[in-house]
Amino acid sequence: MAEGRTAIVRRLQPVRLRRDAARRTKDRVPPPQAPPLSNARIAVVALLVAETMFFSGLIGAYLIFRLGTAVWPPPNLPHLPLAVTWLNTVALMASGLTMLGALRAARRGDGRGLQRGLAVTAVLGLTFLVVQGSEWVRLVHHGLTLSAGTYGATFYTLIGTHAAHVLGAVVWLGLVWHWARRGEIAGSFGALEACTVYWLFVCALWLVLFALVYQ
Amino acid sequence: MTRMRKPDRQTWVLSACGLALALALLPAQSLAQGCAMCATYLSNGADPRAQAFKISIMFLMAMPFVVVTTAGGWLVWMYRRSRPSPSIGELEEEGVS
Repeated sequence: MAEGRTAIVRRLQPVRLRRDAARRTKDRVPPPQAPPLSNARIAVVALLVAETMFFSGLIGAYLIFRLGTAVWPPPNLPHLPLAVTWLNTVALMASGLTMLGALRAARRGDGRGLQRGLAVTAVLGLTFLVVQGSEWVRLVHHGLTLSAGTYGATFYTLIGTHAAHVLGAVVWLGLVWHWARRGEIAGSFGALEACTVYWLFVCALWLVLFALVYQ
Repeated sequence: MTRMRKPDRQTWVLSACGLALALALLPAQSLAQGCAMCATYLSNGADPRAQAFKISIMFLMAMPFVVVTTAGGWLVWMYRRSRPSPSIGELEEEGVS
């Protein structure tokens, strides 16, 4: 009788083990997954919201001065250089395209393409800054200074703030390029994506400012 | 330690009446003069500065809505795009054939 019970227990044991194993699998705590939205992306969105509102305030002030004045620009002050600024705009838009190309290269796993794209973007951004700086020097020589009424004040405040942002973006770009050279970007595109979004924001913002201030 | 009493309905009604009375007693003229610049410029509609103020105010009033809507939409889009799709096992558990 006892031998019979033992045999039944032995025969049932694998079934019980299988059932326990299945229960353990069902009740198993799932492994921790990465959040759907990374902290870097949320931080970039918050930064862009703050930047947009900051520039909205500046544009609001500019609208009051420009639309509230009968003659703009004032007769005794020089007109802004349109042709050179058009070329500069093309350079900045091209830098946006090369930045997107760098991001695509990183997603393909093309490290050299990534570095090349970042370097070209940085050179185009620096070109934009240098050309704008040289135009500012010419404007100052022609009498358009920061203290030359609301025209000069609003122009240098708006365009200068944007130039400071481009400079910051170029520094950021240099950091990302440095990380790309050391191979620290492979597999994790958070820094690169954040830099790309910020660069595109700066490019899009320039289109708005160019249409508003230079036309 | 005594627990705070939950406000009853009579308290809510009295509070609402008090708030409505306070709002009704606020003189409208003082509200219009909240900003001396606006009161001076916007009183003359033909003045280009008045138009400039109006356009700027409308722009600055619209921007927070535009920014929050755009940023919120972008966050929702990124969240939906990056959310992992359910596995076959999860679908079977939910009864989806």
